[in-house]
Amino acid sequence: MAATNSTHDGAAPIVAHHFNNILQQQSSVRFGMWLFLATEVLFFGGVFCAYTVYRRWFPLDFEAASTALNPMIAGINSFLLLTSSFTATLAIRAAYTGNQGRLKAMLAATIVLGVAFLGFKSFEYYQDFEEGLVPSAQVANPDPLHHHARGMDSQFAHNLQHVLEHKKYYKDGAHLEDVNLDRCRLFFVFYYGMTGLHVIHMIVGIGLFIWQYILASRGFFVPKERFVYVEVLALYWHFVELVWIFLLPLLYMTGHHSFSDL
Amino acid sequence: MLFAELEMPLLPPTASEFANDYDWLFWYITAVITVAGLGVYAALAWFSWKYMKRPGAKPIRLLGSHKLELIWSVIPLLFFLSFYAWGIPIFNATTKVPEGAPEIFVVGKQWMWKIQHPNGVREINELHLPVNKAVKITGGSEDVIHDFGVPAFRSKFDVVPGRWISTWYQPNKVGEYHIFCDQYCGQGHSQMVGKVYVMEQADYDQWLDGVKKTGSDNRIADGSPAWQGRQLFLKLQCITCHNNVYDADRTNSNTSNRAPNLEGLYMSKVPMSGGSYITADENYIRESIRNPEAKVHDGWKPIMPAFPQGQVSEFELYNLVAYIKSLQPGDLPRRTDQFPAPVGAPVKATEGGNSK
Amino acid sequence: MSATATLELDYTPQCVPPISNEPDPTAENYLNHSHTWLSWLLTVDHKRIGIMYLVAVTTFFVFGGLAAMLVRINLLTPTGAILELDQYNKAFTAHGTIMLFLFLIPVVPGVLGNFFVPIMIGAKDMAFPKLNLASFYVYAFGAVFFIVALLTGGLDTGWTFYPPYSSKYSHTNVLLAGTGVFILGFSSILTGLNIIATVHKMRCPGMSWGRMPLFVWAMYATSVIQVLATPVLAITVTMLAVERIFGVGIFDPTLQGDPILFQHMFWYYSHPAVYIMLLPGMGVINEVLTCFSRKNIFGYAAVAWSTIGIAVVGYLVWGHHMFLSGQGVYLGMLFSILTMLVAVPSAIKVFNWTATLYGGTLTFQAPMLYALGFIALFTIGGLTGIYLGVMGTDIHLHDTYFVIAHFHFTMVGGMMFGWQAGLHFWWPKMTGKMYSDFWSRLAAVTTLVGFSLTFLPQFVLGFSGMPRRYPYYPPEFQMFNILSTAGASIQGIGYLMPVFYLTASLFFGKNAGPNPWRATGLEWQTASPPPMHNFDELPHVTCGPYEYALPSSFQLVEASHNPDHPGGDHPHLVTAGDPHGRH
Repeated sequence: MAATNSTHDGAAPIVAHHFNNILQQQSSVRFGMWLFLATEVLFFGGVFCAYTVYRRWFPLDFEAASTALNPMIAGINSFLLLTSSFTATLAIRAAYTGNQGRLKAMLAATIVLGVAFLGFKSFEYYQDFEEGLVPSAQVANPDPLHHHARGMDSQFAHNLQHVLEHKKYYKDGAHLEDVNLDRCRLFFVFYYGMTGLHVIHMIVGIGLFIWQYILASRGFFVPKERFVYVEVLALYWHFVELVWIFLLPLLYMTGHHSFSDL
Repeated sequence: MLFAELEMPLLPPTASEFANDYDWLFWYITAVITVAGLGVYAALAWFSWKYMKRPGAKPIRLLGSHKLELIWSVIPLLFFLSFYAWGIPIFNATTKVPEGAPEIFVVGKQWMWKIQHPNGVREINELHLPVNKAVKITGGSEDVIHDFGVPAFRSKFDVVPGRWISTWYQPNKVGEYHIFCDQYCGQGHSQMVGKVYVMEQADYDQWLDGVKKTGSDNRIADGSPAWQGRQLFLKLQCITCHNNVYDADRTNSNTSNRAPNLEGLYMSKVPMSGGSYITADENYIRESIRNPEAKVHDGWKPIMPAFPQGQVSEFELYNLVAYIKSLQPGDLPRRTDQFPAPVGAPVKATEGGNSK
Repeated sequence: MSATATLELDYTPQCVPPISNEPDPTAENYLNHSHTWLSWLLTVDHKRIGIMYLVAVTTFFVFGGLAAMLVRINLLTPTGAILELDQYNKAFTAHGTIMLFLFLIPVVPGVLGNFFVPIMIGAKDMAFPKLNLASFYVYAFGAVFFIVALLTGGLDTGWTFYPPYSSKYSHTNVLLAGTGVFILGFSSILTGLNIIATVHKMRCPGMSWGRMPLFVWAMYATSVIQVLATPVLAITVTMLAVERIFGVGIFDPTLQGDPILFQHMFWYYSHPAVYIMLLPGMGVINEVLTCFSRKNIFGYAAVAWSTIGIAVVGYLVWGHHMFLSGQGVYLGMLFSILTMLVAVPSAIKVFNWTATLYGGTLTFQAPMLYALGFIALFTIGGLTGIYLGVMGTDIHLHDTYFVIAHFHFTMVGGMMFGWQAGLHFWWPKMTGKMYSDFWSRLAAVTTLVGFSLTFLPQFVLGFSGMPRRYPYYPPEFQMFNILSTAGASIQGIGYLMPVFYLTASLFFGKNAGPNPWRATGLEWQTASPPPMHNFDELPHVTCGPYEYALPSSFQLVEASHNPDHPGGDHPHLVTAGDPHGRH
């Protein structure tokens, strides 16, 4: 009986004590991950909802603030992440057929691509930090009458203005003075919040992939029976990628970018 | 009577026509649900006694009845819908302010109510009203969310920072009634209470005389919010830009002036940049002072400085809006050199909007 | 040689009874198979995890109750009998947050759901036993944040955390408590996820959806809400925390944010959350009422679908908390009519429960008394909710003691009574011991009387206009407040009594036997306390859950002669022809 099978190193049985057979166990694991993803959709849904409300109210300001971001890095990152989803899918197949070498290779590729994403992301955060695009309330110019309009009294506003001028924000017919910098700050709160949540999910995912790589090295993935764990982790990874697919247009493609900026 | 001796009224006083309308709905719902509730209780009691276990008794095997279930879901639904339908006009009545009702402005602040009458008289935690006169109540907050409630009028509305919300009363009974803050607002929440004094017209006039002499001009009386708003309008140098001086071509307002003329602005349709229109109601004017670039009049540069709460308090803001509301063509004073442009405003009108 | 004997029952259990009805105190069960601390703390057995939840939530209930007593005592006089203003604010916040996040939300899913959902569907454990243990520790971890927050300075925002008060003006531990809410939310999500997966994937042969006990239906609906609403609360408190830490204005009107958006997002979770608290209680009532009236539930499908209906429509009514916030008349109308719709399934339940009593043979042990108390109090709680869902009447009653009375009638009168009914109903199963009949009945009646005396006067107070969260109040309200406090004291005694007689039953109670109530559910067809993996052999379900009025007979066969079970030593029961043609 499948219920009494165990791996060659004599570790835990493949079918846990409370399941009747391997199919029940596999479908439960898969179902559990889908439920978890439903929860995650609602979790990100909350912050997407708040973003949407403010984007609807303050379109110009969000557009301007988005212009200050770096679409080049985002583009590279999208490519990396999509590719890593592909390698994760290949890993499922390898685990199912029992091709341990390819399984490890695909897991490793996924890990490398994910880490590369995080590297680029860190560089982008560093760039933002260098440009001073940190939504703090620190006051640069204490003269209230002079610059109080549009939240220009903050250091953040000063920096954002600088970046936008550098990027020649005016040239598409947009005007910097149409922009309320308090609202741009709100955009940056969402930018850091949403990408930050995404990065946390990525780190968790990469950690799990590393764990699976170790398991794979130990021959844990018995062909046709334990591939489901690779499958559900890949499901999670696709979800993380899907979130990014939404973040890309909402955060980066909202603004005015041109090739010369890249 | 027992309850009277203990000063323990079972019912709150009713001191407005709306309160009576409200109570009709309240008692209608109460009657229906009392009958329904007693029905359930009677059935529970009767079944509990009748079918209490007795020797030899056998339960019947009864799986249900769709017919009965349909009956006891449709009938309650019909009643629920009748409550709903009746509730709509009651709620709507609180938002439809009668024409010409004088406006009283209430500001919630941790932890007091500041109240300003149409003639500029201010009170704290007290509100004096003449009997049988409709008044409009508008509320704003200087800090957190409060709620201005007067149980005797069955009236209540949240006082939310960043916007004004209005309702109205028409008290019909002389007396003294509670004001409560109904939205939790911190340590002194339960001390954010006050009294409404509803008075006969003569008593009210006398009270008013004791507090403040009013001016004879009924449009901009001395001390009225609009009058105070006018003073502020000059003091804050709004007049520098918002004036009725047209430098050249009157039809091309873009080049002739720095800011829209405010005369006759109230409740007019204002074109927005982008092609839409907005009705210039109180909340629009209010927002345009606090955050001028929120909704910019088409054709003007958003160069106006914002006036946050530190500069213009909620009361002052209300008074400014009251003044702007009162402006009819020709009302704005002439701009003279005694009102220089504010710091940061363009030096010459022809420079357009660039604040550099 | 096969020895046979016939077992006559005046009801039909859901499956072939695998063991005899005699208590076997020597048998190994989930309690006595190991005794070390670690065997409890690291257990993945859903029954032990349920017991750990029981200890935890009971502890927090005591703390929450003490905070409630502080509040009630303080309200004895119009200017506050014992507490300063800010102390009062911290006391009612402690009461609200502890009772909601640490007691009401986890109590039935954590204790009874964990313990009985797998047994009632014939599973050996939850679908994800380790996740189940993790969710308990996540709960404990979140509770630590809460306790630290409450002990080091307290929290004074109320359980609703409305900004800008919570984000800018409160000087108390909003961040710590918010972190606690965030973490507790994930415990709730994981429990819900586990129960959904268990119900979908772990049902034993014959246990179709239409044969599931209604308690399982209720837990299923509850779990769906937990999984789909709680994450929104998590992200909302996260945004609140970001605003409070960094001073950015997500919900701050002076920085372009909108405080009403917080209310929308908060109530998007917190209205469904009241159904998280209520539906499990309703589920328990179905089990108890049918057992003690020896009847089928009246309209199984209607009760099951009304559970789902409440869960689904309950998502769409959150705006009825915000009629006066300036959200707009049309939005208010929409939320108001949806609220009227969600009242219908609740009404169906009450009527169906009442009809279930018709034609039964009723006995009134403690679980039944609690269940009847539930129906009586929930009827009032549900009906008074109508005033608050109708836009017109909500104007005056909004944020008054009327609201307090209403939701205590649903939360305490509903959930607390449902919980007590369930605890008393299943206590013999969980522990194998029977508690004192007299004291348990007395406790049920005491709680009912005390509860009514506490909260009925609050309806009058609310209609008179007394606002909630007021430590000081006008003197004319004093008499009703005194009545209410008197009731609360009686109610407190009613809650303390079970602590004593239930504890005493562990030591002095007589053995209950597997099925003391002669109930039909699967959980009663195994030993009390249940063995490690719930059933000695996989049960096979042959009929619906409430066949109390259908007698059955079984033939006892020596198992060694049964070719299906070679090697078995125990006497085995098989059905001996069904006179009612159920097969």
